[in-house]
Amino acid sequence: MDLGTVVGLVLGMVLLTGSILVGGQIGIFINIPSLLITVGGTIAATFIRFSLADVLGSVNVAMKAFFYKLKPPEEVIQEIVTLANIARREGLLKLEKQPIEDPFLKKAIMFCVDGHEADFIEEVLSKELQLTSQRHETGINLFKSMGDAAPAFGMIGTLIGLVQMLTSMEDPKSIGPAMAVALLTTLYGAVLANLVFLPIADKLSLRSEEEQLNKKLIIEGVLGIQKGLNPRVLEEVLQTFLPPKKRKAAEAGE
Amino acid sequence: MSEKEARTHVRIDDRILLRFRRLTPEEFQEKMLRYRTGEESPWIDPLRPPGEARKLDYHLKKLREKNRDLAEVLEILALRMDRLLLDMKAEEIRREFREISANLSGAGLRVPLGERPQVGDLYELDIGLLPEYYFFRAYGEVVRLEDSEVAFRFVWITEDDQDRLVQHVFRKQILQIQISRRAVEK
Repeated sequence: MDLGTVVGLVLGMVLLTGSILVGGQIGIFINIPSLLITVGGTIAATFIRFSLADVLGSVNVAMKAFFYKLKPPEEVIQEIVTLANIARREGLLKLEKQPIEDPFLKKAIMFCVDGHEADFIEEVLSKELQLTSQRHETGINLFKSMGDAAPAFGMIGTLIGLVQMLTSMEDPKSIGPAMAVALLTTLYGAVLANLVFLPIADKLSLRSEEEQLNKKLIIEGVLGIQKGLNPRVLEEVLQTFLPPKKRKAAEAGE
Repeated sequence: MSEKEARTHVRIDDRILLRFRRLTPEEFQEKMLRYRTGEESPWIDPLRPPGEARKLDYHLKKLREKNRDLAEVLEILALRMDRLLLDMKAEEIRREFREISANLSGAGLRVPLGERPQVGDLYELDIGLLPEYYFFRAYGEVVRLEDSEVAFRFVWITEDDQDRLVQHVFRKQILQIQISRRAVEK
């Protein structure tokens, strides 16, 4: 589970609710028609922009931001170096029996064990990396577009409210409450966009980058294993993929 | 290799070019001293100056990232030029080296030497890896005698040459796996 996402979301909600409670009643901030316009409109626009499968799968994609915990790249490097040592000592065929959790790494190692050429391995794995990146991009774009649509529908809701208010101006006392309700949709849209949709899109983007880094490490590492590179040299090559701070931490960990 | 010995490198059966010379421990120490002081170089490759192969690999790798096709073409050209140079040196190589079967690893080799040394004897081993004709010098200690074959453990080999040797072993390993796989498919 990704604590950062949960903490951020809960903290945002608590702070918003807290500030509302300090200023008065929470009841005046709840309005079902406004909620329907904002949420419903956003979902409707998303259905138009994306395929049905993408929208229905968006819940699973969003779950990635909350529950998907990726292996740190330092650990991926260590696993590759361990495999390189085994291959150097026992031969490539011994790698077949190694317990490997990551399906991408497992697949890459099986290519080595099957005796495929480096060019083939690199081409197939790079293609898979590219396609994974494209799939991630769809999920990210979906939440970004929801982040765009939510404030827009909030504004649409406000306009609807204003039109309704302006058509019945007989009682000046009702203008204030009607205006407040009209503005609620804008609030809902802004909150949904800036506290839910856009942060999830950014988190998914970060996850995608992390996953791509791990996959790049695996491709480079497996090509090194297949070539018979010295594990120490291979580790140094893979360390260059890490930012300097992480590189130092990994060296200290040794 | 006995069960008790810890294996450090994978082994393959291969054909190599070999030139050897038995050394006394004093001669070996003298050689080491001369290498350390720079009076003599362990480099024996008739085609490539020391470190050139590694430098070429490094630059080709960098070039491959930018222009894969150009890197591939240049690598093929380099190999062809190596072959031309080899043809010029062929007579000399044939005269000095014997092509023999060997059980090869990054830590040592087992070869039919044609003479019967004692366990513990030291040898200067000049090895040529085929088909790339990469030549290097190593020093081996006799660790076992098996029928007509002598097993050596390298007591001195440059890290560059050992890495190159391991990479050669891996390359051959992949070829052997491919052949086995094809046989199974048939």
